[in-house]
Amino acid sequence: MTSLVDFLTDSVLRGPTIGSMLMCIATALVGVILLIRKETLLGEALSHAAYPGIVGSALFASLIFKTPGADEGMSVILGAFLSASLGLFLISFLQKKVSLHSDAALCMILSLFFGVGVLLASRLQVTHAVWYKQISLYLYGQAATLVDRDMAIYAVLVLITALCVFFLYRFVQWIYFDRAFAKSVGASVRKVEFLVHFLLILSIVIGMRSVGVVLLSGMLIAPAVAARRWTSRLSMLFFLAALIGGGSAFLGNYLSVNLPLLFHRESLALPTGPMIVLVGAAISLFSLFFSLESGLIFRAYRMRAFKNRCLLENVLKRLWKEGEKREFSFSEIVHFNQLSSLSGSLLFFKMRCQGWLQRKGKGRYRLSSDGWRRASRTVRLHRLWEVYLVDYLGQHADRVHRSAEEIEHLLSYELERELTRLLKDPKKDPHKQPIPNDHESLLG
Amino acid sequence: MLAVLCFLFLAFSGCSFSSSSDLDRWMQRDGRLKVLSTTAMIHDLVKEIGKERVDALALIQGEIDPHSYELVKGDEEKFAFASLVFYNGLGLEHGASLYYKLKSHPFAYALGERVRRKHPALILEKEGQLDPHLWMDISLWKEAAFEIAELLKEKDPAGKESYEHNLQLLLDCMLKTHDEICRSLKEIPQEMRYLVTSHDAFGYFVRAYLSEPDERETGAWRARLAAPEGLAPDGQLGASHIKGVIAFLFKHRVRCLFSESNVSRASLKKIVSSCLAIGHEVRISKESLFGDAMGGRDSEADTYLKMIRCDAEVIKKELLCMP
Amino acid sequence: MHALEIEQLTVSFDKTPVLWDINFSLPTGRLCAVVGPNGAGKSTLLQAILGIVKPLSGTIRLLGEEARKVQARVAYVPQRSSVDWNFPISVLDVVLMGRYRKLGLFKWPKASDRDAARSILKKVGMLEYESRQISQLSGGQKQRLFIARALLQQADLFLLDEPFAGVDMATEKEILELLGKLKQEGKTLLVVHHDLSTVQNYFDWALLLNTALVASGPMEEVFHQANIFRAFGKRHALLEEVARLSGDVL
Repeated sequence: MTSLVDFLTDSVLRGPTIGSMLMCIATALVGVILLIRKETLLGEALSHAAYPGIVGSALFASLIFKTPGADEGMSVILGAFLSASLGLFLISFLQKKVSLHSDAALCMILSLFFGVGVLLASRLQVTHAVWYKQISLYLYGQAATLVDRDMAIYAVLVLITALCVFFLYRFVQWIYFDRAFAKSVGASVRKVEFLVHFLLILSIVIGMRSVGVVLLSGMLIAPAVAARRWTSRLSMLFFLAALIGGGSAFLGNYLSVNLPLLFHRESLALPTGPMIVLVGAAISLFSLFFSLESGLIFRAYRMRAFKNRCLLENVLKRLWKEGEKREFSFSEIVHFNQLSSLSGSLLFFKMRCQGWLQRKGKGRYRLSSDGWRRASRTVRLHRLWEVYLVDYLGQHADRVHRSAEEIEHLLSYELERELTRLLKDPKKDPHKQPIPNDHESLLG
Repeated sequence: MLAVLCFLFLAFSGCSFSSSSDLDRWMQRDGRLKVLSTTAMIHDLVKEIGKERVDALALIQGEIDPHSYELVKGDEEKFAFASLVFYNGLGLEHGASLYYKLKSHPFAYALGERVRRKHPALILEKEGQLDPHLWMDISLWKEAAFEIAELLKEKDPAGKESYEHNLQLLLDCMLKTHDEICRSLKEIPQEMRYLVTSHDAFGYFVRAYLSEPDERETGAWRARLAAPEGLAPDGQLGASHIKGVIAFLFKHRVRCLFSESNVSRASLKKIVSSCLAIGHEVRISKESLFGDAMGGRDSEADTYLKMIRCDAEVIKKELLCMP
Repeated sequence: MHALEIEQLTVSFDKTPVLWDINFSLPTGRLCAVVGPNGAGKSTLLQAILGIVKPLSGTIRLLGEEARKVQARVAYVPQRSSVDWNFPISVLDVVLMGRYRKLGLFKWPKASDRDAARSILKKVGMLEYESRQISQLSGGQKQRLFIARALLQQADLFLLDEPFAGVDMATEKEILELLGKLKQEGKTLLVVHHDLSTVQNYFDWALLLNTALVASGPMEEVFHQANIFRAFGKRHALLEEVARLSGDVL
């Protein structure tokens, strides 16, 4: 198995690895800007809009060079740049002068340009078959054949991108946060937007050799989306996205070479470009599910935990209402609270373990002193909230119970203190029931 | 912008390919049997066997890659007008539109499949995929010529004698060329007979002309060839393929890579550059080989036999003058 | 000297007029309310003064000079709903936007700029939130943040767009105090206000707008039943029709 360091030093591997890493860092940085502008579809539209330029440039180059040599690469870059710029110009034109909705304009240009490109390519296939083969590299990318010279060119382009992002950082932040204000203080909004668009097209042109125009938007969007799940600070966003982009590229190259060796199956030798995008997408999905604050898995867990707590507190409340010295049997508890036997047993077990319930003889249980206090706190919060709703918000006493049933589980200590102070420590709720005292409900 | 579009339009319309006058002539009913072939290699055989009784047309011309060819404007009419369609099969024509057209045409015959049915052991297979490039071995391609003659006789019984006569002439030619090439390439020392090409099109060629008889029995002849791209040159290769070829180059001290006329040289250039970085000198052949396509009109490889002969000469020249 | 002199200002979007032939002047040191129904062009008036939207015709003079020359002396507090509060930016960075004119495109904010921003935050009672992301702020805090940004600009004319919308009583009181303090320092404030019940208490000058100017002048003179009815009653149907026709050909 090829070691990790080899990927950066080996003469075959370093070109694809470093080249695609550089390119993914550039696209990730630009992708963050697209994300905060909420214009991620623009990347997709422009990368597809570059295609007819690529085909056109092949035709142009075929008039000068007989067979594809090293230099046709430059004309392809130029052709893609011009074509994507034209696409961008038309998109703005449609949005501003024709008042076409942004998504409609983007999709229209995407399909129009790509369609023209496919049309031209199908003709090129017949008239200049060798050139056609050469430019079909740019459709899905061919990272594996990047040589050291390509690496150097990309390094320069990526450096330009990174420097621009670094110097424009504050203005990108300000202009996209509050455009009107920025304009009012005379910020050159147009210039910055122009520069950002230039960077976008530059990153497309850099990236199309590694991942191809079809998959390029994946590397624009995936690292930024993944990074957004882990941080809300803009500087961290840029940093994390670049890290994820570069990491995806490295891992994509690594897996592309080592996967068949790992599983001893030749058929797993997948091309590098798609592999990079797959890794990027996988990291994105992982972040979506498992990120600490907004990850779906953790959110689902928190919701479940909250539901369980509500159930527990409701049961404790119910038992509390029966009286302090009252004893229950297990089946009574289950029956009282209308639980199924399974959830009843689980809850019972939990209450015993956490010490809310005390055994008082064979098959007889009652609330422990801790349990008593816990339950009376919940009741207190419930009744305090009812007082608030009736006295402060003027709601009818009949209507407040429902709301209090939900809110009683949510109120924190600070809010409880606030309520007590605001309502001047009431002793009775709107239904004339006593509100448990503050020190009664203190948890030990 | 308008100027660019005009330029593109003119440029494309200027280079038309098979001149439309040829196509018009083919689409006239003149009593001859109208036969459409997919590749030029098949078309060549059909011309030689059919001679004046058959009016043959090739679908995929020039340097177009037959693996990924998709139907273009005008092809539907050709298929509708042809009385017989010959194609290679064995997975060569896998462009979806062409593939389905061939499958649905009532008089389309896959020559490679028919040869495979008769001589299953002679058809190469790699990891479950069939190698379709059987024309690279003349002794195998003559089986295809047999099939063409049979099918022509079926369709046009009146021309039976003519077809058989032409077939015989053709077979004599083919066998003669086959023996010539065998002898010629035997002059290369055994330890230098290793072939690296752009894509895996030369399996049959290596087995027939570059390997020893005992290797043919055991299958050890496979060790004599390597290519970065697989059976179809679709450009989807990974770094492991490049590394595999470079290991091959080292192991057998190969100094020459053979480019092909209609396949991208990007993978070969990558190999050269990587080898250079570690001090191993490798060069790309000055002349390209003809693998999936024959040469154009008026080139030195405009017939099937000339194509194979050309390849053999180029290979011999390059392998022998290694420093 | 007048803080604001506007003559024949007309602004239109998409062929419909939003402001039609506005003429008024606002003396310095006044706390002026801009009142009118929805869609009357109140926000557009502020944006035209700031140069954010281009008027179809008319002239605007600020503080005795042409509007363009004195932009540095005008501060803007946009509507809270005009930005996305999930944007990744911290409280301090938002306030620093007020320093843009001093910094330009290539200079970095220095320590002195940050200190100035911090002292402003202290003034509005938001210093402890300086490194928080704006998504974590409450409605009142967001409003105070915008005002802090405007204060950092050290302007003479302040334009505020519905600063009292959706804030709690405590914040409303605070903002009012701040505005009062600014007025005492001799600044002029033009405020789009939506709550008719508090206009007379908070402001001393009024501008009633309903695409066309209904009335402008001192609060006691202008803010009475007849004018309010003209502003908030039926729209000027005839005016709209004429405007639409002219919009088609202009």
